Amino acid sequence: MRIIAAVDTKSYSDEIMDYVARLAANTWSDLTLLAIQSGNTKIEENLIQAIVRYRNTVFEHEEDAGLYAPVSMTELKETAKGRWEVSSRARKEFSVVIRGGDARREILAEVAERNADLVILGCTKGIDCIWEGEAYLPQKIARDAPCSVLVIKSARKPDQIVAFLDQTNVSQESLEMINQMVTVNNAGLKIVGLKTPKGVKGDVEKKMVEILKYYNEREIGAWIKLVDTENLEEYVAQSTREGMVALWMGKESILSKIFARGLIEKLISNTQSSVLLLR
Amino acid sequence: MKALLYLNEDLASSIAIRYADYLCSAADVQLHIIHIEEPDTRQQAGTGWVRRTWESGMQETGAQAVKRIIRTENVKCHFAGPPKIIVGDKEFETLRELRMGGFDLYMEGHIDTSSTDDFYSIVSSKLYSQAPCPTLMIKNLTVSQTAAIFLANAVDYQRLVTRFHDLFHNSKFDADIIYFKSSEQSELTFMDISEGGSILKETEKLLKHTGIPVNKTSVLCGTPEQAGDFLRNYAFVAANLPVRKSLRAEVLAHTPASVLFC
Amino acid sequence: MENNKISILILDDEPIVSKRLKPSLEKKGYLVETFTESEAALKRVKEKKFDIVITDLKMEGLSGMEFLTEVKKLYPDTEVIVITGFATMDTAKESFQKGIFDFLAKPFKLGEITSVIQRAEEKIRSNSQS
Repeated sequence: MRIIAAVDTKSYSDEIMDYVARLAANTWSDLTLLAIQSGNTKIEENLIQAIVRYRNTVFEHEEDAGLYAPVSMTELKETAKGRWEVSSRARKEFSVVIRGGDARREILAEVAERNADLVILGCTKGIDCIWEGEAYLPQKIARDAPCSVLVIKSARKPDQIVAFLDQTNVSQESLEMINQMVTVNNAGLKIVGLKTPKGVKGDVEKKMVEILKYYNEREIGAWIKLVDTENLEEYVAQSTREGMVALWMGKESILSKIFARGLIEKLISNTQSSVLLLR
Repeated sequence: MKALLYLNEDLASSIAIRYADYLCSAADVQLHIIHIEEPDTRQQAGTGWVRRTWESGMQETGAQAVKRIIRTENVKCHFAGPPKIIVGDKEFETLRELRMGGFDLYMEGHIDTSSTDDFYSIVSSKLYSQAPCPTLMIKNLTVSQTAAIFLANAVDYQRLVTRFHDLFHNSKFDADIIYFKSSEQSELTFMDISEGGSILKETEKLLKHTGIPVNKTSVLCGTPEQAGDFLRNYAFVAANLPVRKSLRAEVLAHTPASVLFC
Repeated sequence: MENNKISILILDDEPIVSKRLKPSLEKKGYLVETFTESEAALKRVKEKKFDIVITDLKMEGLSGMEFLTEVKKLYPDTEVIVITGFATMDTAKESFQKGIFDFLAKPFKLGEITSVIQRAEEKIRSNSQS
């Protein structure tokens, strides 16, 4: 798995690092710490200091397993105008990338270059989710990134993952991403299915049985809940209080059709925990 | 214990049969299966030979459906006899079977929904309110060896403990006592057990007397949603059958765990 | 190696994994055999040595960890790549202690696993020359 943790110098980036480091260490992922700054002519000193702290957290979680090789900030090289990088490889690759410029554009560019599976970022706790001074940035990344995105608003470890898996089209990658989240957090899993006023369609039921079996066979405690499509938005909002909310928003996902425009943005704005958008 | 499991070819039954399989491994259960084909009123065929032929056709369809679900779920438990397939009204026929067969427990699958109305309509049905034995509403497959004895103000704890003991005294199940107090707050909190009052004290005494091992006792304070969610890891939640809408009943409606109505 | 081609055994109880990997690896010139049951894979491994073994960890019956232990016991120079949907630090450490080549957590992209296979191939070829 390739993980990009988008960071800046603010306290919410500090707070998510423990989670990022734990996830990366447990999944033996290639990890990139992507730091964003506004200027693109030279690296800001306080950003370097923050990256050193984040790097140290990553190495604390690595438990001397030889997962990553150390990198030194003095070895950062400008690879393009306003982009600096230093990488090392032990068993897996560890990189620090600094990009200067518009945060949304730079994050999405790095995600595309690295072909990442998951982007993780924190933000302020209010509804405007400020990141590096920009309001609603996590919402924009979640909306536009081609891969899964995890927005962490509370660093508290979730004891439950509420997964809104679109049961007709759910992708194997989404199921696997949920597995890793459940394993890393040692959490329970609530699988929420959609029900129309006429009930649940036969093929949907069949798919839900398959999903439940998939998790049961893997000894993951999973609970099924059916929600009326008309109450879905309200239920999703309520679920953000229960734990990490995972939504499958792939191209074929019926969820992306059912949800009112801008729901992802609303969801991230209102959540008190964390939101995982699966693609 | 002699238990009757209702099966249909759907998601709820798929979960129910696997749950029943687990129950058989944890308790001494003699498992019987029933399936009822409910004819559409327009389908009611004539009399005599015509009716018998039509009924046996429906029975055959039902038998095939049950066979398919048992085969697909690949459960290991042993069934006491072949599945019973009946054509008729589900509530009426199930109640008749429960009375005639001297069953100790009735089980059926119901997928957990976000609607409390769905829950109230099930628990207020004839089948649940007139069942001669406890009923187990299987909502999810929770593999645990601990059941929750669910208490609140004015519950009939004696009935609850006695029924629980009758069914599970020779099983691997132990119990936690959970006393619920309703309160609108952002997070579920745990109160001192003295807040559970005499009901909690007497329940503890009675459980001790009957020899059911009790792990822990908690008094929960929060909304029905929060309490329902807290109960999710229990094998089942043993409770009195709600006779009217209440906050206690809402906990049972919201919990993803299965509920044993005593 | 048969006719200088690298042979690969893939074991994963989810058929979709083999279905995704097999055609792409065959196109790259590898000889690929796929299995969804560990017992059948073990039987095959006892009959034939593979250059690379790709195995899941969590399976019914013989676990992936037991399977890879057997493989390394039979053929210490076979390169084993572990793929798992339930990665933990402990399982990764245990796998490396048993001498695996690499450990990948699912989901992974096709390019990611093919690059690991290529690195394993390079190692095998350089060992066979020395």
